[in-house]
Formats: sequence, C-alpha cells, structure tokens
Amino acid sequence: MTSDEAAIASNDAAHAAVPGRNYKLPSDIDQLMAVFGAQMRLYSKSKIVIGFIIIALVIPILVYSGAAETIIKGAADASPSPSYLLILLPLFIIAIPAMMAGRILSSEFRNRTAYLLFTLPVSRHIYYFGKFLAAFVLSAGVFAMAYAFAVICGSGYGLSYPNDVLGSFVMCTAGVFALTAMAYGLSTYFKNGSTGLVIAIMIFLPFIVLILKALTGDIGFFNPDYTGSVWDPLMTLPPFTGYQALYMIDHGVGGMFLGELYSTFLGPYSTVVYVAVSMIWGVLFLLLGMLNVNKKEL
Amino acid sequence: MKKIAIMLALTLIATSAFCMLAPNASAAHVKETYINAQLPDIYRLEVPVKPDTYLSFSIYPADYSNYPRYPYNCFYYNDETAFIDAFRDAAKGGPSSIPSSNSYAYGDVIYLYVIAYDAPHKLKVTSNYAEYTHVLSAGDLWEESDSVGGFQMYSGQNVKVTLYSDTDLYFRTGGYNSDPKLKAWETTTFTVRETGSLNVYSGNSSAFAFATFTIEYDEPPSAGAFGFVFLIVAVACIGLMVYFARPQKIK
Repeated sequence: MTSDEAAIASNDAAHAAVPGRNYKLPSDIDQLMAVFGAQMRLYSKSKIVIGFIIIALVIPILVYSGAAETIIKGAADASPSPSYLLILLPLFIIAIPAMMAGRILSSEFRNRTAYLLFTLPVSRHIYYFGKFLAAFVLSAGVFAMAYAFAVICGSGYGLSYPNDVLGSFVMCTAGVFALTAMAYGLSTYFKNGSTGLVIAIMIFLPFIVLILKALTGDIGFFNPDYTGSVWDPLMTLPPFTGYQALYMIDHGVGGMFLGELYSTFLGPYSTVVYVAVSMIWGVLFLLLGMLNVNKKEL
Repeated sequence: MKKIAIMLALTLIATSAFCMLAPNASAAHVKETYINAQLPDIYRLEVPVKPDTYLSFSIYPADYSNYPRYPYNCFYYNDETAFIDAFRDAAKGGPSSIPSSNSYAYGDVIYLYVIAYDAPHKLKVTSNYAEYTHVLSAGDLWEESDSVGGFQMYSGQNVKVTLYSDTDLYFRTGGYNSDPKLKAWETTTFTVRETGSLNVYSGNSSAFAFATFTIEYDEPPSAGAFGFVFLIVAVACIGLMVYFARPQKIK
C-alpha cells in the first residue's frame, strides 16, 4: 500500500491490513472522546486557558469592589450594565479562539506527536474533529462564564432582557464557532500555527469593509446625503459578531474600539442570520483544514 | 463516560428548567399606559447667529388649563447632520437655553427643530442679538416618517394596542418598517420583533390627526436568571477540562 493510498483508506481497510491484528477498533464516539479528553488534558496545563478563565472571573470582583462603576463612570459616564462589563467582547471573541485553536494542530504535525497520546487507534477525521471540539467547547465555556458574571452582576444597572440576552449569547457562541474553526482550519497550512494570521485578518477585515463602504458612498463622511442607519449584510460576518452581540443586550456599543462607527450599520438582522453566516463560515474553514489534513503525514 | 453523561444531563435539565421558568417568572404583570397625544408638530426655525451668540427658547401651550400636562421635546442642530446637543427636554414650558459659543461665525445659521405634542403653542427664541417669536400650529409637518411614542419595548414582548382615531397608523420598533398596521378603532395584538423604541407613525404626511391609543404589554422579566444558566454552561464546559485533567489509570 502506497502512502497516498494509506491517506485515503477507510478505518476498517487501514486496520484490516495490520499483520497479526489482535485488537478491536473502538467506536467513533470512543475515539472522539479519547481525542477530546486528551486535548482537554493538554488545555488544563495551558497558562493561556487559565489566564482567560481568570479574566472572566475578574468581572464580579470589579463589580462588587465598586471598581467597575468608577472605571465605567470615568470613561463613558455609564453604569456597569452587562454590555459595558462585556465591552472587551469584540476583542476577545477574536483573541480567545485564535489562541485556543491556532496552534494545537500545527505543533502536533511539526513534532510528529499527533498519535503519541493515544493507546487506541484513532481515525484521521475524528482526530481532526475531536481536537477542534475541545477548542470550541472550552472557548465557549470561557465566554459563557463572562456572560454569566456580566448578566448576574450587571442586570441591576441597565437594560437586559431574556430574549436579547439569550440571542446575544447564541450569536456570540456562533461567532466563537466561526473563529475557532477559522483558526483551526488555517493552522493546518502553517508550521507555526495561525493565531497571528487570524487576529490580523479579523482586525483588518472590518477596515476593508469600511473602506469598501466608504468608496461606495454608504458612509457619512464621504456621502453628504447619508442619513445614518444603513444596515449592511457585510455586518453579519464573524468579525462583527462581538459588536452585534453587545448591541443586542442594550445597544451599548458606543465608544468601544470602532463600535461607534460600526454601530451605524448594526441593526435588525435576526439572530438566525448571524448564526447561519457564522456556521457556514466555520464549516467552510473546517473543510478547508480537513482537505489539508488528509494530505499530511502524521 | 457515565459521569460525563450524568453531568451533561443534569446541565441540560437545569438549563431547560431555567429557560422555561425565567421568561414566565413575571409574565403575569401587565403594564398599561394611556397615551393621549397628538402626533407631533415638528417645526424648523432658522436662527442667524454670530460669534458669542447665546440662545434661549421657551414653548408655551396655547391652553394653559392643561399646562404642564403635555411634554415638549426640543432639539437643535448646528447644521443638517450633527447635533449640537442631544434631545433637550423643555418640559414644563422651558425656558431652555443653548450656551453661547464662540465657534459660530458671522452668517452661521442654527436650525432649531421643535417637536411639540400639543398644538397650537408659541415658541419664543431669544438671543443676545435678536428675539424671534413663532406660533406653531398643527399640520406644519416635517416628513412622512414623523412619529410619536418612543416606548422602549423588548424583543418577544406581547403588545396589545387599541387605536382611537379616524386614521390608520403604523407601529415601528427598532429598524423594522414591517410592523403591523394599526387600524382605526380596532385593537391590534403583536409580538415585538426587535428591542428598541416603539413608535407610531402615519406613513403619510397628510394623514396626521389627533390620535389616542392604549397600549398594554407584558412587563418583561429580568434576565438575571439567565446568568445562572450561562454559569451552568460555563461550569459544564470548563468542568470537562478539569474532569479529563484528573490522574489517569493505566488499563
């Protein structure tokens, strides 16, 4: 069997060819849990993961110590409502998935350590998906913790209502999926991972969107007839998910990085549209990564 | 595997319980607001200014027997695109003032827009250079999208509106323009699609008329309970990491 044939062989075909085979192939679920668990165990030793969890834990400390009110009053003359407590969401929704998923696969390929953790045979596709699942679940968990503390601690200060809060969280989770998948999929193409590349793309993509809109006259400073409130389908792209998730809670995106500028375009797209765009985005990048993984020697 | 399954099942049950209970926790509270308003008369006044102009304006209702029942909202621009100041509430008849500004140049014009909910009434603008008095009357409307209302409504809220008017009107929440049409002398029930300001508007500048409507809506429950749902989700996700990080037995 050549190496090309081995790369595309099915699980059963690959293992049937093992001389003197005396083991049973584990089920797909068992394989998935083995990879998922192994990656989770690696994450438990990661300082980055612990750091992100600590950042989420800082929210209630800031609120109950009174520091949040002082900071937010001083900076924005506003109260520590959920949207202000989550004001770094647009930044972290890019940074956390990129740092969680951008290197976990490339380092395994580089060091040829992909299968060293497993005592059971694991198929290539399940190995690829299991590690992604761990990255996504843990990233989503960090955001869930941040949302939990922001809503519990901040709902007494400002507007936050069930449908909006739930919609915002669903949208945020979809954005995390899209960006985790993007970082993970692209990391298969780079020896040192894709963390920096994804952060750079996600920071510059909104600027490109804004330049495009400026050139087409949709933005006020280039268009004297502009009257505001132009909602644009481009705003449903994952880089803007963090802004839209905050906008949904209590429209408190003003003064947040470029939120003031983007807030003109954020608007009444339903959560379903955002989730659908993010899901498609994420699935496409996962498939892109999968194509490359199929060609690699592990 | 069993422990994970039990943990996930418990999380799912707890989450479902919160989701079922939280939105209905205070659904029984129905708030009723009675609005007796005339759709707004928006008036634009051009006031020439010079450096260091100071402006003061007052609005007086024609019928003082109702004073100060009706609110007056005024806002003004230095040009067609930017606010000098956000909505300035000139309730109780003012006077309200615009501070002097040395950024004005000779020949500058301030466009003062006044939304008044009860017409006719008198608008008096005084500057340190001149005084202008205008009587505002109904029917002097700005554009087709003039609106009245501005109730903050929330996605998912059920609203029941009864319109007492000879004219059909429309509701608009947030950016949606497709909210239900309110038929004259009928009750309309609908669910708010997007959190935002709920406004009544005519869609036709000639259709403005005195309109009275009642609006009933569910008092939205607090989202605080959802914080605990998210906490359970977070504990479940991060708990998986802790679970798999435990010392492993070699089989």
